Amino acid sequence: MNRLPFWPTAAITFCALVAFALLATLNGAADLGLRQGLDALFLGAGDNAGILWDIRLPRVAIGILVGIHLAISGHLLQSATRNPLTDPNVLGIAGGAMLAVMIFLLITVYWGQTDGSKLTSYPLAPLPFVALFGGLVAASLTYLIAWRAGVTPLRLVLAGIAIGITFQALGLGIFAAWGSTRMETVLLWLSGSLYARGWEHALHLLPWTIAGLLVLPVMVAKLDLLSIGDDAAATLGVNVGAIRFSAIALATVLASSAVAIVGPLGFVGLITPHAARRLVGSALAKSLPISALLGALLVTLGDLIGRIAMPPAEIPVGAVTALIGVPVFLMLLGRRT
Amino acid sequence: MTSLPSAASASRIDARRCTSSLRVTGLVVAGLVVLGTLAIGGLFVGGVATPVPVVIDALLSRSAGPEAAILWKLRIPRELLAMLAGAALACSGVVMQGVARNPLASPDLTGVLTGASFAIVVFYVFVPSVPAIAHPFIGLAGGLLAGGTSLLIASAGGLSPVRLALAGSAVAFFCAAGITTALVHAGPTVASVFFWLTGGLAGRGWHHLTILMPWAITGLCACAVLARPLDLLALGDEAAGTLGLNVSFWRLTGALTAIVLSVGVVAVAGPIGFLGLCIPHIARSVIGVRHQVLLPVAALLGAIALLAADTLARTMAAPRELPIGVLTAIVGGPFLIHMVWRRTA
Repeated sequence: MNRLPFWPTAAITFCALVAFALLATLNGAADLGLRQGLDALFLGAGDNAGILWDIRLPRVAIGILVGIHLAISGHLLQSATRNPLTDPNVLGIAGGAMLAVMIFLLITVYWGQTDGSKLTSYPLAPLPFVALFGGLVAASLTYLIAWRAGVTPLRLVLAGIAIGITFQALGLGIFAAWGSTRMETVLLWLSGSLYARGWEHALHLLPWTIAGLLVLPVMVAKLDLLSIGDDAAATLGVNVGAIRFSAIALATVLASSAVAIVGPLGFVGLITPHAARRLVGSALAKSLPISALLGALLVTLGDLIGRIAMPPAEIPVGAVTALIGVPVFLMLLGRRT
Repeated sequence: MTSLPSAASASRIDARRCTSSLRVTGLVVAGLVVLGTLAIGGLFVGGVATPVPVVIDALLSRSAGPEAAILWKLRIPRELLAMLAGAALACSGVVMQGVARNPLASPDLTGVLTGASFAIVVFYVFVPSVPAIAHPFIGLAGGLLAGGTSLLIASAGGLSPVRLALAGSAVAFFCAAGITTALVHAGPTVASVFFWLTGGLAGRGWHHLTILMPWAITGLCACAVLARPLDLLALGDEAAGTLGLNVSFWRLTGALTAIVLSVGVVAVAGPIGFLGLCIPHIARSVIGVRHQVLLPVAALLGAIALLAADTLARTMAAPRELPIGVLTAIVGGPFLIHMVWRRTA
């Protein structure tokens, strides 16, 4: 299959991302014309500048960051396990992060709280750490259960699915047992939504993005070697166990921090690596950046569709990405025999 | 002389068959005793304490007080519902595993439960005038679509457990996203839909039993017919075909039966996870693989499991209700994980 050259592909994807981000910023319940919107955006003119800068722009920014997180996380997991059908959801990481955040929210926010008006706000700073804890627990459990004289990709997937659905059932059940009258906040978070996310959310996510992106170049070359098989990579001097472990750990960190801010977003991490590999080939140095761009594009687009499909109601972006991603995934699964 | 050994071995086989049927009878009797004890014990406990003489009075309809109403309108129908739903889910799992010849096939992991829920939620939210009695039919459509999709996609590669689990969980994820989208439009009814979605029997009564009854009874009767074909299917398609079995017909009938059994339960109790997956395995490890005994034993175990879970759910934090989904996940989750861990492949 003919591969596209890297730089033009990256440039086109980037331009598409910028275009859709701009569209997402200008489009919304309060409809601004193109001219008015651009004025407000770049010159800070008019009453609309507030709407754009404080409400829509952070939302778009978070969407982009989350898309990058999930796409890189999925790509790392697929390379590390040499299994194209894994992502943070399949391996149970999202389920673990979700359960941890729910327990944390219920204990800190809802415990003994009778004043309904206070329930809509929740502490933000600890969330990524809590989610990371849950994600790490889930990932280690998955790894341990799959371990039997080494980890085979198939066992890893089975173990991840088992862990994921267990944690998810526990999370939902605990949530329902609480029976709070103010469940909308958590429900909206649960469905994976960018609704009402502001700059503070973006600021709590950004350090994780930067840290993740800084670590990434260190492991890319070695991770690439894993694709030729464990034994062959070992003869080339790669510490297979260590590199696989650190890739899964980094993927867990990226996915968990994203889940902490927007809730579980399905299938972004699963399908974007496939698209990226198909576009520019499977070498990580090329496909990983494209993957990240596509992930950002997918989340931005999903959020835009969710907002304009049935106004004034909003479809959570998690639902949109799942509705797009699942058919693609099923096609991939059906083709592999 | 030559006939002696064969006679001896024949009598040994007879003896073995005799002990095994004794064992089955013993197990079934023990199961019925446990079920009966649970059911009777459950009558005495709950949000309102009902001492023994009061219960006996109410049962013999010698009193018409609030206790009698609690028993006849709340606890008794709910217990019957739990037993029937548990049996239906367990048999659904057995049949699905037999048809797919796959240890992970179950109403949960093929997406049937979520698919049925999705269809019902859509109608509940957008066409609220549809009566509850029609919900199983709507659920059937959703369950068929979801289960059919995941089974078809998984069977393209020989229906391996991993493929089935992946396809099923993707389909379930899709349906869950659909449910979320529908819930966005649910408005004030969102809380009631959400509680139904976590699965449970809180507040269910005779009315719900009449909704479930035709589906569960039809499915359980179909199971009686399916026992023999399922045994043959276990031998493999070719062998079963050689023995005169119309493989594709019985496979389709089996899948349909399994889906019918579970959509009735979804319509009245919401998606109750893990039972349809775990009970068949427990039953198989206790009694073996012959479906003629496996199906009734699984039904019995399923009834016991759901009755016990429901009794715990309504008593542990009384007067609040715990969602059954948590209880089945606490027990069923580790079981599933253990199953994955034990697999050598």
